[in-house]
Amino acid sequence: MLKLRRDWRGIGCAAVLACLSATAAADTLSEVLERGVLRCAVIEASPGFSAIDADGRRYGFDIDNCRTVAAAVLGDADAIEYVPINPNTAFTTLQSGGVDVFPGGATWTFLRDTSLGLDYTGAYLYAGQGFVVRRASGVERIADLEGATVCVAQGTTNEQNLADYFRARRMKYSIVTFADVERGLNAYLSDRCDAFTTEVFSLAGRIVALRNPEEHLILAEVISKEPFSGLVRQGDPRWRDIVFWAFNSRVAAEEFGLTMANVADIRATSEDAEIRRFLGVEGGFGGKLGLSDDWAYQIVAQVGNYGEVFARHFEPLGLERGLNALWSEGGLMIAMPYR
Amino acid sequence: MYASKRSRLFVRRNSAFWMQCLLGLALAALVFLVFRTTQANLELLGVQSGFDFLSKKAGFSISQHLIPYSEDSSILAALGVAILNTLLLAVFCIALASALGLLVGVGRLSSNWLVSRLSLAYLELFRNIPVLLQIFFWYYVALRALPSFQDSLFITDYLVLNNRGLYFPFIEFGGGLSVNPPVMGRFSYEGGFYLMPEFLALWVGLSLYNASYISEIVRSGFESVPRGQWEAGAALGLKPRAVLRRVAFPQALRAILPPLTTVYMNMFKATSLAAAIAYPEIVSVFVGTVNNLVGRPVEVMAVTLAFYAGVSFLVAWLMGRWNERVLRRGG
Amino acid sequence: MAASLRRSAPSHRGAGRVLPWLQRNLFSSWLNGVVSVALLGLLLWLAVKLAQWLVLDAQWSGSGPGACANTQALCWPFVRARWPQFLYGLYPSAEVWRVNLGLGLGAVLGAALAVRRMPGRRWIAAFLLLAYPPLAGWLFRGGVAGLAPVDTSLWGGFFLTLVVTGSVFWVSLAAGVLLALGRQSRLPLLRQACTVWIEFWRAVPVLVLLFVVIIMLPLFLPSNIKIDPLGRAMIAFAILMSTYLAEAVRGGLQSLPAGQYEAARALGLSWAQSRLQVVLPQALVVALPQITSNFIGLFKETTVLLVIGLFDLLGEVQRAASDPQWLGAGTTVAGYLFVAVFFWLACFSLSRASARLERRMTRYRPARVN
Repeated sequence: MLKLRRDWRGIGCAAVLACLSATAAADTLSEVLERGVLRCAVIEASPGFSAIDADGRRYGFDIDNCRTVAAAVLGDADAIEYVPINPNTAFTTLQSGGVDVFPGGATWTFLRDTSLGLDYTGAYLYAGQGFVVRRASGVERIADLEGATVCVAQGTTNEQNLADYFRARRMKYSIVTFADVERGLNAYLSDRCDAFTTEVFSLAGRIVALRNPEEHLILAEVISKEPFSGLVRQGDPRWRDIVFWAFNSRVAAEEFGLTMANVADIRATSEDAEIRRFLGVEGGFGGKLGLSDDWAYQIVAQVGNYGEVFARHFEPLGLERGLNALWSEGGLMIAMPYR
Repeated sequence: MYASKRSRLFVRRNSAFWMQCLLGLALAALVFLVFRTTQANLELLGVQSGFDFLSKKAGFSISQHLIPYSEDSSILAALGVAILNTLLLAVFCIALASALGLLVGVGRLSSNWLVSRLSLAYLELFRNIPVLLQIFFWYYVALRALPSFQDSLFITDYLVLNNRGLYFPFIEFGGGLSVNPPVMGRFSYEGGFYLMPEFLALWVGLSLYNASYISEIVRSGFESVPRGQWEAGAALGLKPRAVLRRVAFPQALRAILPPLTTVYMNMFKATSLAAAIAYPEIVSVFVGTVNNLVGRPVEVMAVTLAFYAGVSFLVAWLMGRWNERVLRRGG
Repeated sequence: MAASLRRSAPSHRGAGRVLPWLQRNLFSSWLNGVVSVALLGLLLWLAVKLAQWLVLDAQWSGSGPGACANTQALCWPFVRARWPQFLYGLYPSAEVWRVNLGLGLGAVLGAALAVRRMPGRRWIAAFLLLAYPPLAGWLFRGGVAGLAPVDTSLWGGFFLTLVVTGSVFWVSLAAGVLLALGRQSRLPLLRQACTVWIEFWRAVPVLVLLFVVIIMLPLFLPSNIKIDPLGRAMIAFAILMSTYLAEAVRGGLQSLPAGQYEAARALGLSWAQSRLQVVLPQALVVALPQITSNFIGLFKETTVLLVIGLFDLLGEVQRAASDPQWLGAGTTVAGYLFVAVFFWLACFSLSRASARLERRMTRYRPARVN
């Protein structure tokens, strides 16, 4: 079967390629510029990451990621068309197009990177998979969950981490898989399961938002590392670069001490050559990405630096920087140099 | 006159031939185009193709499996588990819905006013509410309202019901048959066999909904039996129940079977709604988990479609055979 | 249960007739009496319990999640608080007038059609079938001629349910008729192709087809053609619906006596003329009950959209009920009850209306030649 297909490809290759170059818009950047809006995939209703306020406006960490890319590419952080997607169809939606970037909560793993036809654009948030249990159950460590029923969202790395972790320790458990985190958590809350597991950022966000957060306990241990990265379709290296450097700019801005409030002043007065290159005063760095030279300035001015974005969405949930602090403060966030 | 008619006929037949050729070409071109575009798209996306993923290790666990299965099993085994779960649900639903539908359908014809009205009320109530909503009701409301395992309901000592499911006793064959009641563990009961709440919700929801359709089929089936048949049965000195069983039912069956097949098929297809709650049948396991795991949308979908189409055609064929036999026996 | 299977006698509810009626219909035998009393008792108990739960114990007043501190009691403030979302989803509130206008226009036109003595009914019907759908599409989507664009990902609730049902039915009826005619064609290839197409899709559950189309359609199409998820969902529904309707119409076509076809040919009508003027009008009338029951089925089936991340009425209720602030059995049940009552009223009245229409239409039904 595979052999046959490959032969077939050999024969039809030229024709297919000709056909492609005529019809396919592999160049995402010009497509976005022409359209004037960025198509950004979001997973709905995930406190801290993506939510909708009373006026119907979206906000959250993921949303600011979308805005970061839109500010860099289009100069307008709000020129975005949000495409809500389901976690259990997320990757296929991305593969099949219609979305320029998916900046939300996808763990960077080897298999996904090599087999899904998608490109990762660089880790922008480091999390780990944790558990929430009812305080009344008396569970204090993961080891206490022997024989428990655990709810989890489908098709996520969480599902596999859970299986690996319990199996490695020969712990018995039973699993109930839900289409998304929200339904899984609901099931846990109505006592379908003894524990719910997902990565700790969204877990904390959801538990804080409950009416009675004190009844629940997020276990201190995590069973995995979950580096989150943006995702773009494979086969457009320039677009991948743009998304990577857009995210990088927020970390760089924090390193430079640039904030939403002071970036305009510093841009006008700074003597520092790297900052001047970064903000597009000299060097013409934007042009090398196919963007306007003030691309990074627009990100900082409209969205803010990494610390500001983190504080905006995660501090209200009681989450600390931890691994996500700057490298100079003991974290993993380090900006690639602008030179 | 004769000649002209003949030539017109000829032209007609000829044009039909050419139209078919055109049609065939268009269809072939369409299929070819879709195939090529898909291939090009997949290549552009760097998605691999082929069914080799079926032999890979699954790596995820499935809470209900009728055949031995663990995270180390292959994806093919996971598919087998999912298919068996689908069929198990379908068989349970067909049994319960048929029994209930028969009861309500016969109830519609009862001489007791209250019974016939209540049967009608049942029909109108369950038929006019979306089945997904009914499933949600059973799952999110009714079953969640059950007590937690610490204060489970004991239907008997051997049958335990709580918000984690319905637990059946252990049955052991070692040294004679022994039946032991489910025992309480740290987090839940442990029984020999247990039905998870997701299964119960789908079972009850799908059965109650489809029983309303079956009741209507049963009623019209019985009404299609001529009055004279009842009277003849009574004249032979048969008791009403015997007339029903021996005379009316076999005849009603002839009118009942074809539409009943449709309802059974609909019920089988509706088991896919399990993907909306968390019962691990084929859509949930395959389209949900496996598709995200291996990233082969075309192959995953093809397997799923082939399963549904295969079962449908098989059932249609079997029911057709049964129907033929019923017709041949002539009631 | 009473074993004798006679239809209940017609009731005469005169004052002096009550007792005989009771005896005949409820207490005709010892067994029947016991059954009746037991059922009456059960009904009474149920009614009391329901009334208590629905009315007395329920939370009626107050606003915000705080009003429903008792999470077990039925929580009506929830439905009130989320009412706009249930109706329109996330459709921007400043633009909601467009939805109201579009749906209102449709309702008025539909109502006008239902009035038998309406002058110009033919024109209204033509307008509803041909001009209204694009007009409504423009109103809802905007983006052209001064209306702000509203992305379909913001559509939801009752509005989405209606849009999907309406547009899918509109497309599928046309496609279904074509498929049914194709299945009867004298060209074997066309006939076979239509048969295979119909039989295959009839075997596939709607949810699976939704996944297939959502995920695969973009792979089948050249990458410069993009269809949003709502559009894809509608295509999936339309594929299924058109095959169901094709079967309904085929039933109608088969019920026509062969004489009708022959007569049309004898009159010298072309194929298209004979189908449009003679065959289809009669076949559609015969198929009407099937068509309406399919319509009702489609209407109920739209709830499946929530599985693929589109929020129809049930989806919006589900989404609102999983808001952690509101979470509780009382809110969920209130939401479900609201949706259930809505669907029940709609489906019940639709099926009643269709039965009436059917009775009215039987006048036009071709005489069977048996």
